[in-house]
Amino acid sequence: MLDYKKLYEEFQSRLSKLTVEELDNWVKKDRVRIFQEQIQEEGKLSGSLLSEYLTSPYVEIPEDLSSDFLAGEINYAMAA
Amino acid sequence: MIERLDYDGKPCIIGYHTQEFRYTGTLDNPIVCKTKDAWLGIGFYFWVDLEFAHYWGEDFKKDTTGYYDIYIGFIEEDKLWNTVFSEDGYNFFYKIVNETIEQIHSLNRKLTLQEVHRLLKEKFWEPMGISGIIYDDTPNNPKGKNRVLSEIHPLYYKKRIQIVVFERTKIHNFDIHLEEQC
Repeated sequence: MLDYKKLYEEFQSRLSKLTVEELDNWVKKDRVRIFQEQIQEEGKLSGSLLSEYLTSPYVEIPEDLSSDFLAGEINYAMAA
Repeated sequence: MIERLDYDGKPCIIGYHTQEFRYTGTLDNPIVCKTKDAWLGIGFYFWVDLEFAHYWGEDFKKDTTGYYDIYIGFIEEDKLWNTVFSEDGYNFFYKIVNETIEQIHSLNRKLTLQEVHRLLKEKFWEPMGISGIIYDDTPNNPKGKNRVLSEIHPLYYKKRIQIVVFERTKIHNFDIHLEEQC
């Protein structure tokens, strides 16, 4: 049986140490993984996925990610 | 209903894992779900009720061949976060998700809920030794299907329970249970 209260306290301690740099790095890594997964599964990036990341009100893409990264991913997808 | 057994002295929950039928043979391992829609992060997803494993196959896992397979596995229970049958498990899970979202907002960032769950899995659940999560959502009476899960909408008395397992080593005796279903 898990000690949920103790785990919650551990979670709060870890969360308080989460920095914006760490979060941004994780987001970049996660999006690369999601794009790669879709390319592997479907052979291309769907317009809807790109559109979701580019226009979603819930997602703010860091500038370096939205320009170079996406351009690279789109080129890779088109070449595939 | 959850079915339990002991495997090698370890309390386990029986889980059902649905995949498309394969002409090349059955799987030796469950398939990890890595898509962006994976509700609670990247992991191995199991149903605890065979009924819902069939529904998943009928709805999503027979596009290519017209058939689906249902596999069975024994999932170690001791490190599963139980949001379904534990009051503390549910309350703290709820607080953790909300506080994570608030913390992300405080850093002037916004993520989708799926991203939040993927973040939780990698940055919190796994480092904290959590091997998976038991959760449920609201089933529905799908249009065009001969299924009535409740005759009193929206009182769905039957929980649609899934388990996401983060570690393959926590799944034992993975094997085919029902083959070539349609």
